[in-house]
Amino acid sequence: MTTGAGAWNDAQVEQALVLSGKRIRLLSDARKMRIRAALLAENSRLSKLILRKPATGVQSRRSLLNQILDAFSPRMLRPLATLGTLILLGGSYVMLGGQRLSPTAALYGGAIVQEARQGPFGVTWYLSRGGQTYNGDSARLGDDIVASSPLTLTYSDGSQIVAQTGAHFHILEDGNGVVLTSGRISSAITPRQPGQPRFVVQSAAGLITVKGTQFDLDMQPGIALVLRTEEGVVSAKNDKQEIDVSTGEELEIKPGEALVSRLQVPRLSIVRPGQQRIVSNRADIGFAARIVPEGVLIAIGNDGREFARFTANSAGQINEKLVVPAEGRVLLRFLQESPDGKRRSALSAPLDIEYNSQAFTLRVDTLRRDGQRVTITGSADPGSTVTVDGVAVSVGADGAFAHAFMMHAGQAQVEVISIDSDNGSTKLLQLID
Amino acid sequence: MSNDYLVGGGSGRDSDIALAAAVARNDATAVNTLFSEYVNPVSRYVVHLVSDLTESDLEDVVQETFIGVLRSAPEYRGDCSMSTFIMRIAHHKAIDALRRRQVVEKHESNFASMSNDDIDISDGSTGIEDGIITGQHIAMIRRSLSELPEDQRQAITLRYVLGMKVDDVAETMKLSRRMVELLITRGRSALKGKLSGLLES
Repeated sequence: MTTGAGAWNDAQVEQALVLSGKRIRLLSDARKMRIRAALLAENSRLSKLILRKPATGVQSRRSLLNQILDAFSPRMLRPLATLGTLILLGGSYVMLGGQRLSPTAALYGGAIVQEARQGPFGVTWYLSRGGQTYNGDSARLGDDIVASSPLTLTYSDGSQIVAQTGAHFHILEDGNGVVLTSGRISSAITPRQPGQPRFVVQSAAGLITVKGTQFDLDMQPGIALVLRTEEGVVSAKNDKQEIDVSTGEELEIKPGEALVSRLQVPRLSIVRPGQQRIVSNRADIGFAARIVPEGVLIAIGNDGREFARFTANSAGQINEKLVVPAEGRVLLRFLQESPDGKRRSALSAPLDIEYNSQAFTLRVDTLRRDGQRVTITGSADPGSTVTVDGVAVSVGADGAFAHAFMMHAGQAQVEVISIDSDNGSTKLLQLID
Repeated sequence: MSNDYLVGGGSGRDSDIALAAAVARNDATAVNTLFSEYVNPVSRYVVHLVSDLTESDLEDVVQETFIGVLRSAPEYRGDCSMSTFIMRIAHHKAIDALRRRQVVEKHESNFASMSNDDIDISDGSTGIEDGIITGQHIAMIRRSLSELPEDQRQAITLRYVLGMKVDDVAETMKLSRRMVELLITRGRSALKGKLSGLLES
């Protein structure tokens, strides 16, 4: 102790108390995030309890109990009557075993489900479903779900949610959305008619409201929700403001921070994570890209000059060919520009393209979509093994192949891989329109 | 969508009522706002009232408090400020925690091992005679605070640590204003005595 001797006066005591409040280390952000998530889940569950709805004329649990006691028991016998009533109510719960709420979506994939059950007086409780779910199982209103593998929820109106492994969410009791606690989900929501309630995703970071569109959400540690709109418009709101996020835009939502959307990184069919080198035996390399609607995709050469420029359609799609002037390698950087030219975003790494007329061949000729069904045709070197999204397809004597599959919600591209007789492999990533 | 309850979006009691109504109708953004606004004052109060809490225990008490607030939000009518309403719930949850862990009986043994870990002691000041309060002084006052009778500790914490008005402290503790003033005066005197004793030793 380094203080000198001396008595404390009132002012010093008060000052130390005030400072004690200001300088104490409080809860970490991670713990606050956990509490926030628990609160949101609790808030959602409470919405079904009669405790929350005194204004609707439904009696609260306590007042109902008191009413029964008032009617049937003298005051002195109240403790006994209370006990008896509680035993009666508890017995009723056990006998009834609770009631499952209405089914709202079909599950495809693995999940651990806490089943919501409703007893008398609107009281809801949760039971853990033993083991894993099976394809076709029902998710019901109020259920709490953790995806143990990529999991698809298909609603009766055709809306779909694809949850990545580890995503934790709660199905709202009104059937019009989910509470996302952690992890990543992609959603394709069937457009709602005017007057129909909109689909919402609640989270600790903010609220997402959609009318009918496709979007991707990633709840990250530290109370940050990343929203990417793939189609349509999504409304995002935190405790500060509310903004619309359009096709091709993304937004990071944090409590208390201003919401500013930005352009997503352009997506090219010929680029995938970890693959920045392409070998082609054609001078014109067909590719598809997804950028902001009516934006411009610009390819810039190693010398800093513009190599090519492509304009996206109203859906943000580009289907074009990059033409390499001569055999050899060219290093290209890609960036997109918004239609008004005020915003830009770029691919982080340049693309290394080699035009070699003797190179191995893998080509996608057609890719057609009919609803959820996709048909792909193409050609590879005769004798090659070809897989489409990991599924082996048969290759004809002339190298032609064809394959049809059902796309899952949120799927935007398909991966084609061929392995030739020398074990050389080639991959193509094709966007699905 | 109305944002009247948002910080800066409304004023005083009206804003509190709007916030409680939004929470009661299950508005997730309102729940977020409520949490952001009051998590630190609630944590601060609980930490001072229950002195030997771990961060994990604090998290539990804070969570229980806010769940209590969610459940009680439909009953909020604006008779007191939202801060008082929440602190009253925090108060009950903290007392529950205090009694659950029988902290009162453990105070003697905890006293010797209490550390300064949760106090920022980065300033280099050396004495109270020059009017500067150091981190070590704050640690001393927290130790002394934990030895006060429970009602004095509550009153002192609400009044000085959280900066509540005496009337709000009285509302939170369900006591008369006069009784609260008495508790604060007695508590402050007791603190002075304990602190002076610590300095001399």
